[in-house]
Amino acid sequence: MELSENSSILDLILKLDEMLNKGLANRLLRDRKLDPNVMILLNGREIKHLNGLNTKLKDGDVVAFIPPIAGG
Amino acid sequence: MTVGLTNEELARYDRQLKVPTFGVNEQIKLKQASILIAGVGGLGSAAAYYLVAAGVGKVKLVDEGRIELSNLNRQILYSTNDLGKLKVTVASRRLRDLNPEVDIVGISEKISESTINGLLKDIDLVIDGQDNFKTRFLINEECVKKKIPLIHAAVYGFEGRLMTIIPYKGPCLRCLLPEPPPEPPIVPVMAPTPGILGALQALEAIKVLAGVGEPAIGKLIIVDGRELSFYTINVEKDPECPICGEKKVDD
Repeated sequence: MELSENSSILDLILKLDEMLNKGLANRLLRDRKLDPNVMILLNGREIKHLNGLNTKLKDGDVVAFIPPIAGG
Repeated sequence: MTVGLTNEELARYDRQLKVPTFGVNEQIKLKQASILIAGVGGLGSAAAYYLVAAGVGKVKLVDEGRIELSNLNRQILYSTNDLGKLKVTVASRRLRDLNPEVDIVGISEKISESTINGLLKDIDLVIDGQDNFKTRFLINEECVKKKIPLIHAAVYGFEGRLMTIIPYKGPCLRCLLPEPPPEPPIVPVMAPTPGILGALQALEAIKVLAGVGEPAIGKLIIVDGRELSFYTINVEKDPECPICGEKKVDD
């Protein structure tokens, strides 16, 4: 999808919320902080290891939103 | 010491010995291996069943639980008349009946900081069949320290995930999950989901132990049972990982 130059993961979430699914941002964010029940991988790296929601995106980046599960 | 296969073993494993790239040498590697099944619930039941059937030499089962009625929709080693018995006792008996060639050890013990070192002694590979993040993190940390391959899987409802962790070669569980998420309440599980994932764990374990195929290192495999689709998400080994990263605290 298209985002403006210098957009962050947070911008992406807000844009997805607007485009696809009102309420998505509410599921992923708590007070503009990432809900601990969601992991986000940017090109295979968890964004907590990067710059969190402020991690900047560039052309061709792949972002995955995954709720962690632990059942056995 | 030379290890070979008896005529009975050659017959028992005949169908897998006919698989291209898997032969007597690979079967002997399985026979020489010792593995730990960490939790004999839904995942552990299925993984243990296939790994014992496939002829892994020594299988250590650890679980402190007793069999409850609500286990029986998915924990296929147990029957209705086993209710109240220790899981490892029943599992060991069932698995010995399946394949008496395998050395099966059942340990009724909680996996904790004080027991994990003993449990991992002389172990070549671990199957993670836990149901909570805390113990999963502990097993991951100790496997990384000891460089023991760990086959991670988890389930929720119709969905399952798997990743094969070869310490320092690919990402570990903490590369994927830097911080422990909140522990879930009782997890909903559709009966066959842990069977599918446990069987995939067994397949990955066989590949790693025998040195065949391409294990899912750095790949989070997501099984969506509701739509029956498999997705692969590439996961990178993270230099910032608190467990296997460059800044890790040396033990």
